Amino acid sequence: MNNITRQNTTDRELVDRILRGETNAFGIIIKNTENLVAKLIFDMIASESDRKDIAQDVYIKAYQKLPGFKFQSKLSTWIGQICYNTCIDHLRKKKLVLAESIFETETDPSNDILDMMNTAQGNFDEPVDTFVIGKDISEIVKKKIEKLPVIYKTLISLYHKEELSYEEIGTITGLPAGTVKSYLFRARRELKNDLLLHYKKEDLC
Amino acid sequence: MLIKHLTDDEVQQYAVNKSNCEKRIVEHIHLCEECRSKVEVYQLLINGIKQQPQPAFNFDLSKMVLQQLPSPKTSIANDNALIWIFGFMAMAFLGGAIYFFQSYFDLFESMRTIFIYLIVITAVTVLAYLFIDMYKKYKHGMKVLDLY
Repeated sequence: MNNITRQNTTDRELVDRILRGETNAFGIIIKNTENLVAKLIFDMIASESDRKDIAQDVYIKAYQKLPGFKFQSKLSTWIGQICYNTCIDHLRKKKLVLAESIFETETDPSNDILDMMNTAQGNFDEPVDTFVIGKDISEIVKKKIEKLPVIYKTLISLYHKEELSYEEIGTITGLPAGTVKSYLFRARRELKNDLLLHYKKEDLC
Repeated sequence: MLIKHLTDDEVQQYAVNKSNCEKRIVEHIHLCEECRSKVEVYQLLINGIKQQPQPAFNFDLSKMVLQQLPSPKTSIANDNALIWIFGFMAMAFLGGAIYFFQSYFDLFESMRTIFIYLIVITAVTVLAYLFIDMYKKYKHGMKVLDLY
């Protein structure tokens, strides 16, 4: 609780300084929130040049909207929300993703069959043990995460890496906390199933 | 003997945060080899997620954004000057009114001093309130218009 109060005080001080015309104080906000913004953008946007434009766009929007910030959440959560919405808008504009595929819950079964065939082929080429030992678990998990729908990827990252609460993730994504929790369960289950489809548990330990 | 294993959600709950789990789940995990094995897979997965490198931009985002923001405002000094100008104008107006309409002030002589104070204080309070409100609206309007 004290941390939240302290955080809010710092946020208020920074926002006040910027609203008084000290634009350089906005640099501190960027430094404080850059990691979260990078995580969201890297999870949601594939193109490197688009990432650069979106990152700048996020902060320019935040700067413009700053006088309207009501301190109902942490400043970082608010900027995360702007970032998430900017990424979604970008994906929709580019028609890279349809609304339903953002929230897609099942992976394409044909992809699974292809993956299984590829793995089977891989297993013929080299023994399972060598195949797994050659890679570490984080590398394997990374590949599996990349296959997840955008929303799952984002939630996994915000919860397990950024260590945000369900409520904070809900504020960023505009989803109810209960839905965030349930999507996270589904995302982890999908990852686990995908992992066990290709590797034996003993090989991963 | 029938053993009812934990659901996948319960296994995940334990793997993610065992300190927040129901006692029933914790006890089951301690006794059941199969569920414990499922927990281990999830823990492995979560460790794998946590080990992912932190993505970072290969450019100075702060510098790029700050270059695009409008230069720092110098309006605070201007705002203070504006307050002084308004104050001076108000004083001049009040002084002028007293000088030109001195004869009317005789009317007040018949009134009791306490009433005069009451009227003056009320007038000053209302004027101050209106001035503050007007100033706030002006500031808000300037903020809204401050686009680039």
